[in-house]
This record gives sequence, structure tokens and C-alpha cells, in this order.
Amino acid sequence: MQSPKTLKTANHLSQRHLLEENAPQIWLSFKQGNEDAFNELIELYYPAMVNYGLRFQKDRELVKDCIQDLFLDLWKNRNSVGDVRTPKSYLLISLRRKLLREVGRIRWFKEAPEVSDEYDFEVQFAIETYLINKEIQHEDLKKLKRSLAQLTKRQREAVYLRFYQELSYEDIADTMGINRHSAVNLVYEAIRFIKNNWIYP
Amino acid sequence: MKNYEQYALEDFVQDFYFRQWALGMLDPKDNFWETWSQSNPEKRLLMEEAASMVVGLAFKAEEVDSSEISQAIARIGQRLHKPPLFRRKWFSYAAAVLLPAFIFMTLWVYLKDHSPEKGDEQVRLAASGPGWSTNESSEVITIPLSDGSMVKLSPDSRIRVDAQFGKINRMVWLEGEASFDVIRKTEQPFIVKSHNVVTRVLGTVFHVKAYDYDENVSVSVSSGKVTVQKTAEAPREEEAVAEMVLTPNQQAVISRKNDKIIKTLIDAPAILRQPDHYRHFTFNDTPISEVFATLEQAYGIPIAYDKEKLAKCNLTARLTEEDLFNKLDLICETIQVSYRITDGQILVNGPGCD
Repeated sequence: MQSPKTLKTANHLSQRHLLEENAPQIWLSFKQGNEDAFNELIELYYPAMVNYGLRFQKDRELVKDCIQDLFLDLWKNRNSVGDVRTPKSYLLISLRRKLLREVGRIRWFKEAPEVSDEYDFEVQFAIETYLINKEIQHEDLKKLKRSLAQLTKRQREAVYLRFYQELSYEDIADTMGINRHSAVNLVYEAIRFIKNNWIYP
Repeated sequence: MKNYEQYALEDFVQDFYFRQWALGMLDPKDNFWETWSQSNPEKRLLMEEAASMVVGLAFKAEEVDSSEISQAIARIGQRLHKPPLFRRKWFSYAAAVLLPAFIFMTLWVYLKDHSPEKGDEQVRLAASGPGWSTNESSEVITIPLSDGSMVKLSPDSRIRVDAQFGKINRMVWLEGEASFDVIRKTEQPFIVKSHNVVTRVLGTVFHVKAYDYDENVSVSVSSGKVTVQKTAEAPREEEAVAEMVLTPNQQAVISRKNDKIIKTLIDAPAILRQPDHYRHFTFNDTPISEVFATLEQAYGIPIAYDKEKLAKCNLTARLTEEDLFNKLDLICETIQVSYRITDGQILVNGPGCD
């Protein structure tokens, strides 16, 4: 059986996964004021943060600015930052909060009148782009696309954090502000939904 | 080893190792899953289904290349090391402030005797104070500001940084021409005053042209959003005459004499985002509404047209190399319509296709 390499996806996962094993040490070193370790943290998590941020806010520059501010604050407060289970989820939670605040402020400044009131979590599954680019008429894939579109916002975010950001259920729970049990449920519900609608309809 | 024999579909989908295999991200030499499926033929169908599901649940990645990361690290580092006043290096910072001031004073003494009368009272007042930096060279010079923002000052132009810069807001005065790359700080708007035009931003890249001999002041935007405001000639209480929001690729031309403020496009609009769907602007019998939508998104410029009239128009073309206006020329030629630019938008007009 061949590995089904049908879709091109980010292969950042495999490389970064190795580096992430060192994350706790890097974090510790950063807390002791090591600037190299601080830069390593940025290098390690910047892409994941940009990616996550863009789910909430499409303005890439704004997301990038928020990440910069966040890291600066982190450096300033490095002595008071408590122990974190994983730096990654800590950074994602902080970014989520910051983006929420930031967008509120901009609206107040009336710089961006078109910012919507609701926080959307937008993801694009690779399959959508694949269908469009290849102009594929495959009924099966279209059915998959329809099922994916029916996932709830929270299911989408949980699936995204689990499969794209490769977070543990504890970290997903922290990031989304829910308990571990709900995080597990959201992901399993999503998988079961796709299974029932796509594989065994 | 994990007990893969007991795995259900859901478990395979969740397994990191399996996912990597399904996405073709494992080392080609690693043939664990091929071997495993051969020794567990009854699981083969399940594996295939799980693999399709993994592929189906893959997300589209946002590209973040390494130059973007190193740029971020550099910028954060820059802001991290902004001048710690009264500590080390204060001497060189004092020199950095005093030297341009000295150059300016010399220049000013010279100009006071030689320059013809200045038109703008506000600018002359401002220019008579200390703290102006003038670019006397023939090249653009880059001036870093204390908040990490960058100013690229054109020749024959000068800039003054507010003494209170960074306290309530970040204000600079400009005479001549400069590009600004502003670090975002929501609490402290960045304000450029040039003649009677006030440009206000939070963080973005933009360009201001306000030469003394020029009747107009122009402001153009590369990224982010900018508010442009014209103040009354005599700066009583900064009463606003007109305010305009600019987005990337747009430009405001403000007359210094009257209240005219025109929104238009910059000469060579840049692609802000490569199109996802019609890659390289390749269209194949594509409805014109989608062609325009692709351009709108790529350049961030609204295109207005009569959807009903042009409903039957299609386009087959590959417009990779052309700049925006050449693209528009070709499209309009093909479907027999015309376009013009009004208020920072593109207006398309014509009878439509049958």
C-alpha cells in the first residue's frame, strides 16, 4: 500500500516537532534572561502563531504586529510569567486574547469600521483549494467538502488545534477555555461526523 | 509499540505517526506502515479510510517563510534595545540628537538670510525650533525612531521629531518627502504633520510628499490603514476640514490652497496577496465577476461594475506579467468596456456581452 500523497500540505510539522522537544529547556533559559533562547522561541513558534492568528483576523500585518507586541511584553515580564505546561499553548492563548482586545480597540479608534462584531474562526481545508485548482469533479471529494463545511466553529477550532497545531488535549482545553473532556469530545464528534457523512454514509 | 491491531478509524486518524505517513511526510526509508498493512491485511480498508480522512482534514497552510521570521526577530530585537536613557550609550545618543540639531542650526542660519519668504506660517514656526534633521545628501537616508519605526527621508527634505514623542502619541513634522514604516502601537497613534495635512496611523507603511514648492501634499499607502485629515490654515483648534481613510495602493492628493482632497490610486499598485484560486491570474472561460473579484482581492482595490449587464461576459487570458492597469486594459479590450479611476476605486462601464 502506497502512502497517499494526494495533497500538498505544510511539512513544517515533522521538522518543528523535533525542535519542540527542547521547548521546555529553551523556555527555562529564556526566563533566566537568555536572549538567544528568546529568539529561538520566536523562531520556533512564529509560524504557528501567524497561522493561528489569521484564523481570527485576516489582516496579516495586524496579526504580525500583535505577535511582536506579545513577545516584547513576554520579555519584559519574563520574571513574573508562571510555569507553563507548554510554551506553545501559552503563546497561542496569549495571542488569542491579544487579538480580541486589539480588534476591539481599533474599532474604538474607528480606523477599521468594517471589523465585524463576531469572532469568526475561519479555516480553509486543503481539500477546497485542491478541488478548485484541479477543477476536480470527483463526487467523493465534493461530499467531503460539504461535510467539512458543516462542522461547527468550535469543532473546527478544536480539529485545527489538534491536527494542524498538534496540541495535546490539555493544551486545546486551555487555549479554548474549556475542560479537557469537552476538547476530546469536540474532536471526536468532528471525526465521527465526517465518518458518517463521508466514509459510511 | 502501540497496539495498532485494536485501533478504530478514529484512533488512526489521531495517531501522529500514522498521520505523517498518510500525508507523505515520513522519511521515504520508513516503511513501517507498508509492512504493517501487509501483515494485517484485514485492516487495510480501515487504514485506507483513515488515511483519506487525514488527508481530508488537512488544513491549508499559510506560508511563513524564513525571511519573515528573521525580520520579526530583528524588529523585536530592535524594540527590545531601544535607547535606555541615562544608562549606557547615552553619550552616543546625545550625539545622535545634537549632531543633526547642530547641522540644522547651521543650515537655518544660512537659510534665514538666503531663502525667499516661506508660504506656510505653521511650518516656518516649527522649522524655527530645534530638532530638525535635514537630508542634505543626494540619496535617501534612513532614520530610526526611538519606538523602532523607520523613516526614509528623501533628499532635500527634513523632519522633526516631537519632544514628547512616545508619551501620548508619536508626532513628527515633515517638510519634503519621506516613507514611513511604523511599528504598531495602539495606545500611541503615529502622526505626521506636513503643511496643513495630518496623517494618522497605528502601524503601517506609507509615504508622504509635501514639498514647499508643491501646491499639493500627497499621501500613499503600502500596507495597513491611514487616516488623512486636513486642518484649517491657522491652527486654532485643529478643526478638521476633511478626513479620509486610505488603504493599500490608494493615494490622497490634498490641495494646500483649497479644500480639495482627492482619493486616487498610486501609479503602480502592488499585489498585496497572490490569488488562491486563479493562480498567476490565469483565467479560463471565467465569468467576469470572478475575474474582477480576483483583482479586487489581489490589489485590495474595489472594482465597481454593473453585474447584470456584464453577467454574460467571460475571459480566457493569462495575466501574470502585466501590471494592474495593463491587466485592466486587456480585460476591457476583450469584453469591450472601459474603465476609469474615481475616489480610489475602479469603475467599469460598458454595454456587456451577448
